Amino acid sequence: MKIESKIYLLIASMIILLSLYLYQQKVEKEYQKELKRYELFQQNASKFISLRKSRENSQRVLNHILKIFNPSLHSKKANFHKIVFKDLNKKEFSRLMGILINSTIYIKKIDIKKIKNKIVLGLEVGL
Amino acid sequence: MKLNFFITKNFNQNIDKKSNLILSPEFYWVKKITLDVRFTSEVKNMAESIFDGTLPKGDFDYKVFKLSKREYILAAYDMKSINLELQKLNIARKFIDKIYLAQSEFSQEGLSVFLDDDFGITFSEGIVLYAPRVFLKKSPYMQEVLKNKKLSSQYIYSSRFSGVKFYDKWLNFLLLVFVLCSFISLVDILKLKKNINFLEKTKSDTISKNSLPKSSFELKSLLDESERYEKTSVDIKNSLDYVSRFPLKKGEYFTYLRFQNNKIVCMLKFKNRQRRELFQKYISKNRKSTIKIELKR
Repeated sequence: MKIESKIYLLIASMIILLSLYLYQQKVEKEYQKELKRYELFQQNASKFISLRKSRENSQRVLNHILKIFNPSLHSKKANFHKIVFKDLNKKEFSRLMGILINSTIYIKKIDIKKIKNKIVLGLEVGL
Repeated sequence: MKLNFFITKNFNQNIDKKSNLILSPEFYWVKKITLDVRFTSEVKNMAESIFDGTLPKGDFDYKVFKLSKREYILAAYDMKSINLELQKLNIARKFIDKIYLAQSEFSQEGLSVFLDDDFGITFSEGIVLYAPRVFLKKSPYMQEVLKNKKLSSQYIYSSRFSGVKFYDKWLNFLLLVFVLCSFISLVDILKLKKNINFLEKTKSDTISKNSLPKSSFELKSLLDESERYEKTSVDIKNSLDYVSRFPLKKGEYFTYLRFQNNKIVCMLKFKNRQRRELFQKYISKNRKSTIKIELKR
């Protein structure tokens, strides 16, 4: 091969190598970015999955409360349940409060009044 | 524009500018061959064996000219001996730009050129011949021909690449290194691309498997919202828990408790004033939550 052809080939291969190197850097950056995005996604996804589980759990607890304590009023608007228990005795009230405090149910509003010997409990809860 | 000179072994002009030299057939050997090969490079590879035994001792390079489909002209030249001859003719190396063979520059059928009063060149049956003038038909002189001569790209030496030959092995080595590096880089790029695709696929698989929101933005905003709820909920529950842990005596009870405006307001029936103050003190020490507890009269 002619020496000049070799030199041209060398220059061409240098240009190709440089272009490949620059492109490799670009892809490497892209990969690092994608990796970070992926890790963040995985983190959020596992949080979301556990959140969904806790919501399912909250739903179960709420169903249990509604079944056992039989509220006087119950309405649902969007994700929030408005519940009123009018005739709770002290024992029922303590049990209900224990369940609510130890559950994952979100308490938005709470209103407790004692009328004569009965306790009135108004709740607005979310899952 | 560079000057062109036709060099014979009797050349006696003074060259003091960068010029192109065309060597007369005295400086090289030619052979006409018929071979059933397609490319000149194949002929070049066989050149050494074709000239075997016909050349004097020396370090020869070869040039191949294709005449027709199977006919080739092979030229053999020894750059070292050419350089020595040029030195003898007082042609300084610094004034040489390119060196050509007459074979490549005067290959027109029937062409004859007079060099001086005794000799000339002619192209006959594919070969440029150096011959006595008496054998040639009336022809123009070389000086006139060279004035308008456009030279080919088939030079055998170029000052631009002089000295580079010394580094030929290094050139080969560098070429190999560059090709290898390019290959490694290419493999790396392909690997990275594959990894990116793998991440994307795993992500979309996780989304479809767990029925997650499709965009990360949506997922993040849902999480932020629920985290906000979670924090408030835990605060309320902690405050309620704290309030309910106050040891009430017989006849003492809550008459009212309400969570509003980010604080818990409560009313209690106490036995005496000291008990009320004790409760007041108790709620002021609440460290379990950021929600304030207020006792209403």
